[in-house]
Amino acid sequence: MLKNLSKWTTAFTVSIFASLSVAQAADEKITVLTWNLPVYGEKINGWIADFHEQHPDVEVEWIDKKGSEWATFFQTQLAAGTPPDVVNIQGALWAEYAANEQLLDLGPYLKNDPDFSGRFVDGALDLWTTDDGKSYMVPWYFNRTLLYLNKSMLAEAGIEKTPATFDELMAAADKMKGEGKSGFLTANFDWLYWPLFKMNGVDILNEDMSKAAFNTPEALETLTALAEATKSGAINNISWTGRWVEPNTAFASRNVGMYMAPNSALFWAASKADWINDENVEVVDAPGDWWTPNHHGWGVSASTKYPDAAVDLIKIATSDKWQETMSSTFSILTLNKNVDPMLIEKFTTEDPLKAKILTAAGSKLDKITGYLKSPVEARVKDAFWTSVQPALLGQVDPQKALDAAEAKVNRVLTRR
Amino acid sequence: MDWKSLLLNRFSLTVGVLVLGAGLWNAYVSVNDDGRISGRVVDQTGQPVVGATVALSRKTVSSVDSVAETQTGSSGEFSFVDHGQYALLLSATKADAEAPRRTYQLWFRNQNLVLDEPLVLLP
Amino acid sequence: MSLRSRIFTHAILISVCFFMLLPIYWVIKTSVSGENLFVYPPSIIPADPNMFYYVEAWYTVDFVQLFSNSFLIATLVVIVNLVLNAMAGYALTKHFPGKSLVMSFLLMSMMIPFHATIIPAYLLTAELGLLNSKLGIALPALSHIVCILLFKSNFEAVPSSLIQAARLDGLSEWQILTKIMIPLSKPAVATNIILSFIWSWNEFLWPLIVVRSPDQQTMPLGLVSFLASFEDTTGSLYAFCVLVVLPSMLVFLLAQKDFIRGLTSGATKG
Repeated sequence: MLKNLSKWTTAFTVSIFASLSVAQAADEKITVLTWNLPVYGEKINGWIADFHEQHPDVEVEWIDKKGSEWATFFQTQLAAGTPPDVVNIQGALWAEYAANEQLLDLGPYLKNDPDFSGRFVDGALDLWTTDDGKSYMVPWYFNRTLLYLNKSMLAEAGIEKTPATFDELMAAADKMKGEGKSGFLTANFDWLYWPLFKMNGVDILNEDMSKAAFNTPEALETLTALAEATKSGAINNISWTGRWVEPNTAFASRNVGMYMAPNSALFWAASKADWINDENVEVVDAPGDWWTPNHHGWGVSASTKYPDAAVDLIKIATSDKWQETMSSTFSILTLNKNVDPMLIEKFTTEDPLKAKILTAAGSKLDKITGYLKSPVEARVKDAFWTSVQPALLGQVDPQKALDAAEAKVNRVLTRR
Repeated sequence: MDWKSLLLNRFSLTVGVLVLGAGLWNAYVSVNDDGRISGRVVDQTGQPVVGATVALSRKTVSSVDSVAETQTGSSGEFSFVDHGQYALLLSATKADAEAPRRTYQLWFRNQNLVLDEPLVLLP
Repeated sequence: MSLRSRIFTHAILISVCFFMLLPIYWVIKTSVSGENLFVYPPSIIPADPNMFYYVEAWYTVDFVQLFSNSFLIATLVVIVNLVLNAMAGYALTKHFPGKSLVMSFLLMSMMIPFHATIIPAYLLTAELGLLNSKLGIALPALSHIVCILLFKSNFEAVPSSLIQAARLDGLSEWQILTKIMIPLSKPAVATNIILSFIWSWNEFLWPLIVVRSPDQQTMPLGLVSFLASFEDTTGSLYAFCVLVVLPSMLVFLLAQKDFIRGLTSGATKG
């Protein structure tokens, strides 16, 4: 029996080997890496079809990795010398790759093709332009923080004026707190809570990003006020969890007075709660008009063998045709000049609140904060947040937290 | 070769039971997956409502998408075919009256569904 | 053992068991209740338990594809492991020049974590043209040194008189291995099956890096779809966890008798 077994085993193994190894062919191939958009596959295949009309002999491979795994995958590919040619990167993560010369400067391509450079709204390209004038990415889609007001709770608390300063914001939150109710809630992954500090004049780093700049009396006051408000219940303590679903669900439950979050967060909440509409929710900029982005762009790996083809694919992805599909699929801004107004126009009658939110999200692009074009952005973020979070939850003295954060951030900055 | 000991050991039996279970389940599914939904719409007094619009929708990441719509017949009955969902929402409207959205969880995609309780229109 | 000490031992064992099983209970409980982790106070008994999260998990990812990928890879890994490890283990029971060198080389490679060699492994796989293929995913797991050593210690426990008798009967080395050594080392075989199956089944980082298209994804990669989703997928995430763990639990339960003997037989060998 064993003899038979070993014979079968051999046959089985050989057949599995034969059937499992996939031959890798195609000489000219570019690879596209997207960030957590598996649901968009059908449309991406549409781009690829359009791309093949221009480049019939270049094969396109599309890979999607989830947000939490994206960096691991991309880093490994970089280390192995085989990075994807076209990459979709979230937030300020690109700055690290740009500083390591792993991304291509798209400046010359933008300069040579006015149609390409001219399709984005004014200031959009600046999001990915470094101090030395190099453009590493072009916009794909864009979210930013806004302040959403639960009108009935504001009215109940007798608040008639939209808070215009941090102190007014905290005072309003305090008035609205109550049994099972809280006055203010913020989303907080990445730097989304930073407008709260910036409206008090606090910056994360100094001008040339060489030193921490946040250990100031204003920052201490802000942090202390936030911690006290959290303790009293004026600020919902879900604010400091760094989660997505829970704060959105909390606002959807109609027990939160004011919610500071990216526009996509409110749309998510609105899909769970019918009351979130133009009648019951007001959207405004946070005091001082400060906002933090949560955006995605396209870049090209510096080591690509086919830079022209890679840029051509980006041109297709950011074209009016495909950005219109993008914006209507996800109700999202694309920073494309022609597409965004169309989306807003469509919502003006269909869903006035969405129209209002998208209009606000696409304006005042210069009031950006909490966005560091620094190669150590991710590490600065971690260093700051891990020290400050316990203070917000009242576990650590705010001054001590700021001192610890300053020391950690400065260590990160000098170590590079 | 001893077929009995080869067949009647815990490995073969476990695999056999699993395969049998999967086979039976698939047979059941293939008989019941025409995606037929049938139910009735009534008003608060329990009288059938003729000509009410029944909407079949599904939940997606960012919204509730409409899948199909139909009108109720002479005894308030309505039906859908081939709905293609494994979780769905039903609601009904007529003039100002509305039956609140109800969620139905199914055991497999396109499962046939007969509503035990009618949708009740509330003014 | 007196009654009192027996009660005492059992009390300790039961309480240890309780703490070991609690997380598993929690996973199963969440998979039928979908209760968010941030709910306070947490409930011990699931409120309104239902199996629909399993339906959702089944349809959220391409379950059949993920499962068959994982299963094919694990089967391949188990079979190749058995063949290679048994042969290597048998060779190591022999005396040959440089044997201690080979042994120390094997032991040393065990000390290098896989993460440290992942880039060269990736480049090698790419060079072989095996990226994004099941064989490429299985490649680094095709032999585990621990299992080679397990076979070696099991084979050494076989009385040498038996081997000599076989040799007198005219059996070749290959026949000795397949007809005498392996049938006498069932526990080692069971241990090999369990360990290589579970390691292959649970592997995450390597498939993440080698797999490029969704149709080659394995179960652990499918798990990430739930984590990364912007929906509240707590219930279906945990349901999928249960579905991921079930096959390896089944393999373990089926082969556990021999597995435990396999792990201890090396230790008690004279």
